[in-house]
Amino acid sequence: MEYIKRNRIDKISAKISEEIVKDDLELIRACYQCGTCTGSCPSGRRTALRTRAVIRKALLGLDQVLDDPDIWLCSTCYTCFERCPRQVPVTDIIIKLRNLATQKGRILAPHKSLTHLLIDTGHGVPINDKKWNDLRESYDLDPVPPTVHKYPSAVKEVQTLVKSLGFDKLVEYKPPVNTNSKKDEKPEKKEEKATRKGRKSKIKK
Amino acid sequence: MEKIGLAICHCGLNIAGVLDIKRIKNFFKKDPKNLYVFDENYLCSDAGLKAIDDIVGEQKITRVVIAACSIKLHGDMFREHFEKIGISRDLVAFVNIREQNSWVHTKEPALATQKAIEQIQAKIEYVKLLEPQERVRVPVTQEALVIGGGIAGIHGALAIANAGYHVYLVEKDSTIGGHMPLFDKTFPTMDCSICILGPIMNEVKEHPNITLMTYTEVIDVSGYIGNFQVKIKKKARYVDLEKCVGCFDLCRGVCDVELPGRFFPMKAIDVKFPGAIPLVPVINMDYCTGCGACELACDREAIIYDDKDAIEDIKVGAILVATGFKDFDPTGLREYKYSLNPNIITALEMERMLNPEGPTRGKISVPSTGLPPKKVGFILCVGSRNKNLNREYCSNVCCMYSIKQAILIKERVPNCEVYVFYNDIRANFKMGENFYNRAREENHIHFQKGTVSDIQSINGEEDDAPTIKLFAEDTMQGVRMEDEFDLVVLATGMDPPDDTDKIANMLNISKDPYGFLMASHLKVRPSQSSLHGIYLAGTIHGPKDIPSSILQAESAAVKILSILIKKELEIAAVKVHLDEDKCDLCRLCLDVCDYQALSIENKKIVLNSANCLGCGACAAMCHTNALWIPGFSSEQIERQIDSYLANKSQAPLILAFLCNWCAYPGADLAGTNKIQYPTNIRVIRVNCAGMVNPSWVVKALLEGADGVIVIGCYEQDCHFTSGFTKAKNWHESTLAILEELNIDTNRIRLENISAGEGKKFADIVFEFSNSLIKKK
Repeated sequence: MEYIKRNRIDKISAKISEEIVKDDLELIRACYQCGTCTGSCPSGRRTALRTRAVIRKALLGLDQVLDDPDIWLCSTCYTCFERCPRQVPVTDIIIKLRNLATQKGRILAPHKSLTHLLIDTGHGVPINDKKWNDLRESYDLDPVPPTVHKYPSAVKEVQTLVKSLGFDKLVEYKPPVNTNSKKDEKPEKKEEKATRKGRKSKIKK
Repeated sequence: MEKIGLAICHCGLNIAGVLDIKRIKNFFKKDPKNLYVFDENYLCSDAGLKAIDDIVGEQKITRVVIAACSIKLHGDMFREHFEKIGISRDLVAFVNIREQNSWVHTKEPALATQKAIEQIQAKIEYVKLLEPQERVRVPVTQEALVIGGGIAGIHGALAIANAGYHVYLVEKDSTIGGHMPLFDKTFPTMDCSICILGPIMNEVKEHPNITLMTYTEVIDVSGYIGNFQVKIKKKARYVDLEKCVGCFDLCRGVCDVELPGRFFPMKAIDVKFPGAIPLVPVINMDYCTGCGACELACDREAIIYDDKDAIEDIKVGAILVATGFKDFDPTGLREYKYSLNPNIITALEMERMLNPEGPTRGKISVPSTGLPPKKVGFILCVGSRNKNLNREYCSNVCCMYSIKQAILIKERVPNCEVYVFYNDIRANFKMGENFYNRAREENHIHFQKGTVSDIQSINGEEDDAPTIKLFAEDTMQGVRMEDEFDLVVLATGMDPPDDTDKIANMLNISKDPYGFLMASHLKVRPSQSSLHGIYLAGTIHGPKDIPSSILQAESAAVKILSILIKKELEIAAVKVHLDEDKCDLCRLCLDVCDYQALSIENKKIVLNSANCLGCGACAAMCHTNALWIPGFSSEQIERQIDSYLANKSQAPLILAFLCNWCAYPGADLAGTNKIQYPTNIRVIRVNCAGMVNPSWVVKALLEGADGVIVIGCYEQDCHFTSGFTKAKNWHESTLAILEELNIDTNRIRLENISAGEGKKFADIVFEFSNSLIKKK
């Protein structure tokens, strides 16, 4: 039975999500599916990102495009937009799709854990380990960069901001139980690794 | 007693589907003594005209208002019809409730109906003031001019000449033929191009009714239908047309100067191709070193080093413009690496390679190695269907010629694999689909859906040819593709030739937004330009194939013959009129006229009507209204302003003065393309933006218009040369007046659009309307 796949559109609808079209993105309708975007995509050379297919799905209003891991693979280099013969703001549309996905809580696990780090430390990628400190020092820089790392009280501000926007709930952020941050980081790291594997297997498909 | 007939057309559902005709009819029924209103499904149909005849007779109607499509479409037809049934054609007014109402306000039927009522009210006031005008009969010069000697120009010239009328065929190149002789075969029949064209070119040369002028350019045109004066420049050829016998190998053989160009190898003295007509070389003085070798070699003494340009004046009754196209230059599309890699060529260059008379004598080879290619890729839609390049049009032929070239390559290099990267295959034209099918089934051409997005050109070691890697998506499977090819052909689209702007300005005819010349109606007048007496054929009107060019040329020829066959034409002279009693001799008009139509003699202004073009700029300067253009007099325009503003139903209300030549047809085009814009605009047609009197604008604002906009042609496109420049001056004065009156100067606008810019017109209305709303 594994050869029998059910892959079809049950109800065709050209209803583009009003939310996509809102911010001057009506030009999505100009797309004629030539594939210039896919062909010029540097990310697509390595990953399964098929930019044209993302636009196609968005045009058909298929809700599942928001679940498509492909929308997270774009590196926002804007090559597709530059070359698009129809002036479709491809990159802006992908960013919009990401925002919509996030608002619906459909953010990928690796990105979720990244946001958790941001809330905890003020950095998506913290750079206050010894390794980084030593490296900075070797360049005659202050070992701790002048960011939230240097002004830990600012982390509180970040957290207040995140909370007032409801972003913490959106990304299912749970504050660490005790203040010892080392213990907290470990399980997160594991989760991240697990999801990376998961994504790889998806790409292989 | 005067009685006005108001005829409202449903135009099927085109008008009646949006406007509430019943409401309009009821509104105008109130005054049956002076105004009789009736409606018809199609006024322009036989039944419609019959109904008009009956009602005009029964109701004793003396003046008519037609509420229907644009005056530009059926205006002349209706006018002629009324003339036949005894109402002067000058006592008919037109209300544009289709192109400038129902088609552009589809979603607002109630507001659109109200707008239609106000449009009709204004024209009823206007029609009361009209007067019959004198007609002038002008003699017709029974000869024609054809500009451009490509396949379209040749066929146009032959059709006119064969009917017995004399034709001047002017070609700027050294030979006639245009692009077609450069091709090897033609699709879909695979006919040899020069075999079918050669005999026709000869026929042109031998035809007693055709004066062939090659290496000649048109430099000035004046006059009007039936009477054009044309100045042409015969460029110095440096070879005597009479003495030369066309052996050309003698002079060319001794010439040492080779012109740059891989696919068009030519010397400083050369013919363009061996079948050139006339078969007389020219010397390219940009490259000639003046060594004198050719002069010595020529045994006919045909070389004239001190040859000079010669100017000649000719008179013709009609003009056919067939100046062709220019191949799109893909250098600007950096991702395609054209000009960086010798093995990436354009289709026209491939055409030269295929041609037995071309640089490789028909041998297909990879330019850098000279070896036959193993894998050839065609990239379609290069320079067409592209918004970024402002070339949104389909080239119409690049699918078909690519298939043709692919088949020819496959025939000559059977082991070669040929891939055509396409987005949509448009196998247009008769037998096109069969041709496409044959390419796949019999010739094994592979069609790959997905536009090539990138070409990587990697230079190898010294002697190695650079490799070409194409990147694309197989959009059918949604899989990325990257592969190496040894020869890549860019299927380039068509651009208008470089001098099209010059020609359009010289002839006073309209261009479309991409720079091609525009027909006066896209559908029903495909070969007629925006000006009477000037016709279009071939690719200057837009990309098309050979048979379509011929069709259009012959259609234009019939139109031209219908003019030449008459000895005299009756034309409506739109010229300035003078009421001497009103003139106070301020003389402001004298400076503004660029055509010496006004002078002063014995303390009186004297009109020289023959010189007047009817732009009305002098009337705009006349503070006593002593000067006026029939149909556009101050009283006639002001009455419309009064009517629009007395019946004002919307705010903000925009009053628009649209020039007859660019802005009004541009607004009509918005309608034809159904581009929607707000209903709060009321249009008054004027003969030129330069005739809009500042006092009209101020009057409109004082009477309650929220905004006033004057739209004319682009300055360089002006039908009267300097009309828009004058409009700019008037606009400055109007701004100064408004400042004095303490009126917001942002409430008036001066804009320009071309007849091809319907979208721009709609955008302007939107933008102006929104800016006025913000002010409120």
